Amino acid sequence: MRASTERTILIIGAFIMVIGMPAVILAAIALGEIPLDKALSTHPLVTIPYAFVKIGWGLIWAVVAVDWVVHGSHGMRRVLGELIKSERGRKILDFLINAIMVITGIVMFYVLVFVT
Amino acid sequence: MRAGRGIGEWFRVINLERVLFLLHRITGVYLVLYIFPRPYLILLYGSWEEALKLDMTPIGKLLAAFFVFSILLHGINGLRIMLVELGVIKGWPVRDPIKPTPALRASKANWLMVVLTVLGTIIGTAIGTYLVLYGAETWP
Repeated sequence: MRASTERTILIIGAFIMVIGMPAVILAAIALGEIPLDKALSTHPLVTIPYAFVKIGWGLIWAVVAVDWVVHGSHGMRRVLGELIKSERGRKILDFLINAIMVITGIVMFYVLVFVT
Repeated sequence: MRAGRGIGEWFRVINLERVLFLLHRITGVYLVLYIFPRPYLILLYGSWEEALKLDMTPIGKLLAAFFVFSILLHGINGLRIMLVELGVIKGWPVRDPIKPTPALRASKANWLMVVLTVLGTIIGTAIGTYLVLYGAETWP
């Protein structure tokens, strides 16, 4: 993958998260689905994303979470790419990262939408 | 350590931007290591409730507190990086013969974002850590 393509994917992914995560959280609070007092007195990992699954917003959160997986995978490709010097090694890394990204993305989507 | 030579390059700290770069990378790697196994754990345990029990152990709470710190620092600093990359934050270098200043460090918007990153991370981590330690462990 070209470095410019990777950078574009990273930036778009980051943009969706930076805007998307607060937007979903604020929307859930504004609509009263997640009471503010409850959110401010609960363990953050219980509130996010468990509360979103409980109130039936798992699908909405899944969009952010899958984007999270894509952004994280590309970030790790960058980090691990700094350790690899050969072209063949880079291709293997690309393949592994893509495989992990697709599988984790599907599993993430599944657990947020179908597991309660 | 010479430039462009692997992860050791991250620790060649010479200024504030390099420190933020280093923290951005470390928190990014931590976020991946923390989040990526999570859907598999839920799949393994069969429910969110069972998987969340791991987060309520002392080690789970320690990892969660560092997760809160990581997501805040990576998120807010990431916003600064995005604004720099998109050309929203930019500055003009000060061409002083004695003490020249690079363009980014001469930008007030960049300094504002740096302050926001530091304050947002400290305040958010304090609140988040408190909730991790003393917050309710179940959702009604």
